[in-house]
Amino acid sequence: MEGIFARHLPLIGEEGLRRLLNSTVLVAGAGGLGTVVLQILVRSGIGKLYIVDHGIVDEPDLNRQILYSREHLGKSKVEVASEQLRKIRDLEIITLKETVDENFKIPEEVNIVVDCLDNFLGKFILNELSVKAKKPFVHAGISGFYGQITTIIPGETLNLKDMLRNVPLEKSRGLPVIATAPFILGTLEANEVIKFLTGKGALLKNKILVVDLLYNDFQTIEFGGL
Amino acid sequence: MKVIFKVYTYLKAELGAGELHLEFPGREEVSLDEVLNEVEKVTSKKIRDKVLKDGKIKEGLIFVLNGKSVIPENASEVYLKDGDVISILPPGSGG
Repeated sequence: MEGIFARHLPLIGEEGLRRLLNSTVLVAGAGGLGTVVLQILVRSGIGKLYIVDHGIVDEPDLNRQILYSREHLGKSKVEVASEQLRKIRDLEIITLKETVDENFKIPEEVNIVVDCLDNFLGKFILNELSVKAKKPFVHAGISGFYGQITTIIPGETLNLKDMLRNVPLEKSRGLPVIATAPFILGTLEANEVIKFLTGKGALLKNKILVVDLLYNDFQTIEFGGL
Repeated sequence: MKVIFKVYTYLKAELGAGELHLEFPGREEVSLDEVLNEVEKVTSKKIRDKVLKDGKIKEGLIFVLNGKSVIPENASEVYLKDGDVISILPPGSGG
C-alpha cells in the first residue's frame, strides 16, 4: 500500500481504502470549492477523477483556488488542476473543458457527483442529471463568509430544487468571498464523498448544514424528505 | 400559541439573534406577516424590508416552514400554527 495513505488507513481500513481506490468521482467546477475537493480526494486515494470546467485561471482566483499560482494565469483550469494533482499522486484524471448544461453527460462509471459550480442554474441542472443517472450528489454553495452544504441521494432525499426554491439562476460575477469559505465548505464536501464511499458516519441527507464563519456558527436546517 | 423564528448568516448578524421564540396569546394561527411584525417588535430591528419586497418573499431567500421550502405569493397568505418553525436562509451560489 502506498505510504501516502498511512495516516488515514487506520481510520477507514483496507476495505475502505480499496473502495476509494476503486471509485470514480466527478467534480464539476474547478474553482474555490473544486480545487479543495480535488486535492483532498487525490490525497485520500480516489481511483479516478472527472474534472469539469471551461474556465481559465484569472488573478482574482488566486485568493482561494488552491491548485493555482501566478505561473498558471491564463491557462485552462482543468489542465493545470490535473497537472498539479498528479504531482501529489499518480491517478487517472479525465478533464472536460465544458459548461454544465442539459446536454452534459455524466459518465456511467461515476460513483458520486460533487457540485462545485458557481451558479444555481448549473447546480440545478447537474442535480437533475445526477438524479436521472441515479448518482449521489454533494452540493455546496458559498458567499462572503458563509456557505451551505447538503447531500442528495436519488430516491431517498429531496432534490436541490425542492430545497433551494426562489433563488436567482443567473451567475453573479465577482461575488465577494473570503478564502476560508471554499476551504471549509470544500473540505466538508470531500468529507461527504469519503463517508459515502467508505460507508462511514452519517451523511447530510434531507438537511442543509449552514456554515457562518463570521460567528463560528454551524447549524442544520432539517427538511421533511420525500 | 408559540412559533420559532430562525434566520441564518447575514440575516442573523443584522437581527442580532439567530432564533426567537415568539408568543401569540389566545391565537390559533398567525400569518408570516404578523410573525415579522412581532420579530421587529421584540428585537427593535427592521427585518421586513430585508426579507420581503412588496409583501412577497425576496428572490434569493429560502423560507423553510416545518421542513418544507415554501414560496408563497404573499407573506400574509402563509399561516403558522402552534409549535411551527420557520427558517429563513440566504443560500450562497458561489463555487
